[in-house]
Amino acid sequence: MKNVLRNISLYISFIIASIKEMLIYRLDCIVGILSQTLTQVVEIIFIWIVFQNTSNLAGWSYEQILLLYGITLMSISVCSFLFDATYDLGPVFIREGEFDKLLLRPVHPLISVLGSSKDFVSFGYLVIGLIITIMMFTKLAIPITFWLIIKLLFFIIIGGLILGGIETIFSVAAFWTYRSNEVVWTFYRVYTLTQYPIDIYSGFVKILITFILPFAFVAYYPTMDYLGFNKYMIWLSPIVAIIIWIIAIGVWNWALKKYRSTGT
Amino acid sequence: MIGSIFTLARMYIKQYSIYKSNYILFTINRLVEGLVYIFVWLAIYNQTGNAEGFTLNEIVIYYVLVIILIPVTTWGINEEMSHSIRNGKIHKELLAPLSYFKYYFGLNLGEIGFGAFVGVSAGIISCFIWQVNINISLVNLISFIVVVLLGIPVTFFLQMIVGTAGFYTNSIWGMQILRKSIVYIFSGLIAPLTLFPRMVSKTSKYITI
Repeated sequence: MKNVLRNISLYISFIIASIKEMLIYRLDCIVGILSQTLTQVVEIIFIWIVFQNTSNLAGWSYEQILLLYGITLMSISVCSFLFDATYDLGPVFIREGEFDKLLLRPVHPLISVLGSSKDFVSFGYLVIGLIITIMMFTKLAIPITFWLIIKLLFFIIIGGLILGGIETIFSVAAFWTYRSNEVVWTFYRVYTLTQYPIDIYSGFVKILITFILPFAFVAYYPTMDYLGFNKYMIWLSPIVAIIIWIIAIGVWNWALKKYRSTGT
Repeated sequence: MIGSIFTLARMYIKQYSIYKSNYILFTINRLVEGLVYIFVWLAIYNQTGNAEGFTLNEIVIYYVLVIILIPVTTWGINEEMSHSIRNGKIHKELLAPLSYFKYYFGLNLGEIGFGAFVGVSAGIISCFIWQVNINISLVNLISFIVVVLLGIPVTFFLQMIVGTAGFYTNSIWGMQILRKSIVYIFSGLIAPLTLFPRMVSKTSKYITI
């Protein structure tokens, strides 16, 4: 336990250093936040277009879909902020020889890699997600109680942890391909599937995002709970997060043993 | 001069081809990207049987074409430019006997060449997955290719504008995302432009992407 706390404390120190590094380019950082917000506007426009052609999607109304979208966005922001560096594992750390330096540190290299995350621009996701969520709670006449806020916060963090765990598993491919960014992009692509009710997908996709890559536990089941559709599945999310991280750390350690330096 | 540009393009494609896994992953990404949109439209058709006059086959063909065109319209040399500004490689690029502009045009061609290969592969696989029935005449095919080729300088100039801004800001990561978002909205990559709010579809006529 002492070791875990030490690693978390080191991880937080690395994150603070990374944010400072990011803020060197302030203007680009601000443009980045605004641009990331704009990318989400693209998605909202798509949802709007969809609902110009139908009154509901698999039984979900426009407001309910937007609520699902807002909650997904907040979990994504947590994941991007805390675990984004896995995207750079291949091209920056392994290919350019940085990873060899990390192996010499008295810290587990996964902590060093994750700690260099500096996706400060995901702040834009958080803000836009929060605005959408509050607006939709109000429109759907869901009372915003203290218990709901606590539950929302807890499951947003749990959602971020699930996404981060899966992203970490995906990034392991960098030990062989030396380019993790496209693998992590695949991860980004797959999780967009969860921005809509899973009932619209075919059987295989449903199984994929519920059991194989459990993205459905990030926002779909929590949203089902807030909407009163399903009150039980949400409580599996923390268990899924723990299982995902046990697998992620195991897979990472296994891949680490297979690591071959590029010699850069 | 043109020979040097094409040599650079070839070199860039070869660089991508070193890791075969890249090609497979890029192709999978394009497939998944289109998957979400197609499933959403399928759900609409299952409920309403219509979407603003488009048949299901037409809308699926639209997204198959989007899958093919995404790499050509959104990929580019902005990341490369940003890296070279930040790590100082730009000094060598400016001293090279080939102009900075032409150097990046060559790299951009290579990027788009590889992107086209990925896009077409993903498009063909999508046609099989969604059992798309495309009846295309030779004239239409040629016009399509000509339009895509004419689009290359447009997207390149847009990237050069963003890239040049990096001389002042030292980092163009944020602006690059802005460029991609604008391209996604105004080039109809998320949905046919006729389905957009009137203001957006009207503006898109003046923005040549």
